[in-house]
Amino acid sequence: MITAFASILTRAGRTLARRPAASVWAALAVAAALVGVATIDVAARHVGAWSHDLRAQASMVVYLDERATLEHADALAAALRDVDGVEAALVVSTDDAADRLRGALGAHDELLAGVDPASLPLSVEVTLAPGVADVIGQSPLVAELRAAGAVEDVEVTRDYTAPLGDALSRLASLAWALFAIIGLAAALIVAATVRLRVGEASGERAALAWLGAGAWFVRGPALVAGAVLGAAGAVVALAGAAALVHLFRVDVAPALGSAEVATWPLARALLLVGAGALLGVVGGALGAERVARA
Amino acid sequence: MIELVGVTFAHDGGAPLFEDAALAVAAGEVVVVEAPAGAGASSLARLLAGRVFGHGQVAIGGRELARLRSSSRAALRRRLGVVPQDLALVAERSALDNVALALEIDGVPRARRRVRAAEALAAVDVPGEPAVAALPMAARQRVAWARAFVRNPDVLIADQPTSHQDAEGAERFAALTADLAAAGAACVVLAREPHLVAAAARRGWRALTIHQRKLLDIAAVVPEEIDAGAHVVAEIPRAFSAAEDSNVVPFPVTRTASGGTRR
Repeated sequence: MITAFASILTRAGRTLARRPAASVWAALAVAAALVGVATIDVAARHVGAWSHDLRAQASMVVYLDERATLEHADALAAALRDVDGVEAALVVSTDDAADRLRGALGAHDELLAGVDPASLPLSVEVTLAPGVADVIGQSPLVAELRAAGAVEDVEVTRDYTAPLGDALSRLASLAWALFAIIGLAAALIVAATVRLRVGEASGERAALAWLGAGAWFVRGPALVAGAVLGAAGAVVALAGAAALVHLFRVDVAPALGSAEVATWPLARALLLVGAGALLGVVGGALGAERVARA
Repeated sequence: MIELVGVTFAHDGGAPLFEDAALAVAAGEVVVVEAPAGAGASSLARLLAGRVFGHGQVAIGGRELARLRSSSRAALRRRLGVVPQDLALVAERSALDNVALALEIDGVPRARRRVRAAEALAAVDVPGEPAVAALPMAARQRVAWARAFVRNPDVLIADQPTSHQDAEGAERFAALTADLAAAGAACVVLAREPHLVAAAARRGWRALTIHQRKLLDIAAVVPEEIDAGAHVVAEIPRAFSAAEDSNVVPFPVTRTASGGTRR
């Protein structure tokens, strides 16, 4: 068994070494198929956090009039927290509101001259569950709130995170579809590479046939060569995707309010390398089959 | 050991090369098929190795090749020593690697297979290091012999194994074949090279030919009217002296019913 395995590995190495440039191209083809998947994988694992960060902004604000006290606001917030679809309800005091206003104006805080912070309204910022924000405008809850005493106004803000989540989800589906197409192309390139190199040794094919080589002896090296090409391509893809993630981390993530963008845990990286190897094995099997039939 | 019963074979869409062929080769026996070029000798070699199939039964060791799964057929082929007419060597690899390949397929560990391959090459006077492509044709042919003999096969199938050899080479092949047969192997040698035909005759090996699409004992073939421009017919004496080797006439050779010699 060990002898047979060593023989297959040796012959696979010879197959790969026969045309190094073709091996590199085949590995790059697999890398091209996997780089998108690796990148989307990172995005998919972070999209929840990004959405959460974005949705930390309130999707509905209940402004209270001057009669309302902090106790009123707390009671309203507590009541709202018990309503289905409400994830959080935060009381914003007049002081907090003034701080926010100053923060928003930044260098232009002279605009606040003559404004009494105590005149700013108390409010309750409500964060709604995904999907609820779109329909809350039609909810009796808003009408009831507007009709309630001490409520000045209820402002429903559009939930931009839901469409973003949808878009990312569709993008992920598209990426997987692209992976399937590019992956098939990559497998065919690996198949052609393996076939060309195994096929070049036509004397070896004939010798193997006459000498009674078994199926594994004939196909094994092609499968191993394909697996090596696929795994190498996956490693290249991980490196490429890591570079993309780095750019994302520097340029995009801060804008999403998420400073931390992790790449791949070891198990996940190995899974991607395994996917690459599998793609290569499929290619190797196709190539070996064509050679066997030739 | 080797048995053909009612075998008819034709290439796709072609006329049959031979019809209703029958052959039985016992363990320890050597049979020489002295067929002219194009008569179907190579096809017979491929049939015996289970590389192609015709109508009828081809069995080795009691196992009918056409009924075996491809994996079983491959396993059976590992008990054969084969010298194909085109040699089927891996040109870019060394002679030693080519011979060792047979043992590699058999799962012999690397160190042992290299020793055995080197011994087999030494027995045919071919160095192991050069790539096969760099060897002259006669040496390449001997590499193919070494690859066939290194397995100590139960069955030898050799298709024109001495076509690039001189008399000494043909005698060397005949001696190796005789040793293998003495060890119990059944051997079928397809030959039209006169030195080998003569060497076979000296050893009294059974001689057959493919005549008018029939596989026949060569002694039973009555020559037809000969078109002198197309055929040369000669008698191969059963007992040759070494000195007579050079007088052997190239194939096609047919023994006349009366024992006379015709060209």
